Amino acid sequence: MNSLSKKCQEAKEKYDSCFNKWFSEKYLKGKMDNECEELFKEYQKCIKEALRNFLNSNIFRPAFMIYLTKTV
Amino acid sequence: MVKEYFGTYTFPFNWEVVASGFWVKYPNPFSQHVVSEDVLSRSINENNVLVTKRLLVKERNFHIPKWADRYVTFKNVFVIEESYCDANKKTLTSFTRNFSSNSLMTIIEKCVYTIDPNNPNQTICTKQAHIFSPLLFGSGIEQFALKRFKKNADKASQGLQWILEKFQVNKFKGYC
Repeated sequence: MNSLSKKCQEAKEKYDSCFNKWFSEKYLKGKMDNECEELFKEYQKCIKEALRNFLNSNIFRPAFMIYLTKTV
Repeated sequence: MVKEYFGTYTFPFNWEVVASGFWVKYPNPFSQHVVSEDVLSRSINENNVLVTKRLLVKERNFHIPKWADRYVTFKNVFVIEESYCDANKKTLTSFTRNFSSNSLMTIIEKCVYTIDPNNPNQTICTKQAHIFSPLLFGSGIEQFALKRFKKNADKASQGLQWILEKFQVNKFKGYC
């Protein structure tokens, strides 16, 4: 699936495929390790920056923006 | 004024398959208006529940009533989905909140995916939605949104169903 930011697409795909494998093969079987953490950090760094830019470029701040500001 | 919606859907797949499919349900032909999906946070809490927050961006693919059109400034609808997946109890609960065009209306939806008590190889999804508008003339908007929601609620389930069937075609064995 597409990321909000094209720049983050590769990082997202790498993380997603790691997560999906982990979810079915580990998490659902009760193994709680954190093997996708590095990929997640990389993806989050990218997407959080993209969201911040997105927020800064919008002068209108309806409910969603306010909500996002708390998240990012 | 708040409008409410209730619905139940049955998926002919076991809970593990449905829970796995939940993360990859986009893109699918029934949800072509969903243009992006991103994870904003994810962690496992003290009860081993996987807590995820995702941001979905949808393209507004409908015409809102003309009289309300001037209040709409965004082409896109932003959706925040928070989900709680409990592998021990085999439940997946998702809350989605729509942030549509300048807070014209809010839709909060709760979906609970559990094992069908009558058939352990099936999964049921109980859907509950609240639609409200903060505006003075909100009742009309709520009515309009409810009508649309009813129509689209089936599509969302059809989309997940489509993904799950694709899993099977691809010899995705599931985790039965």
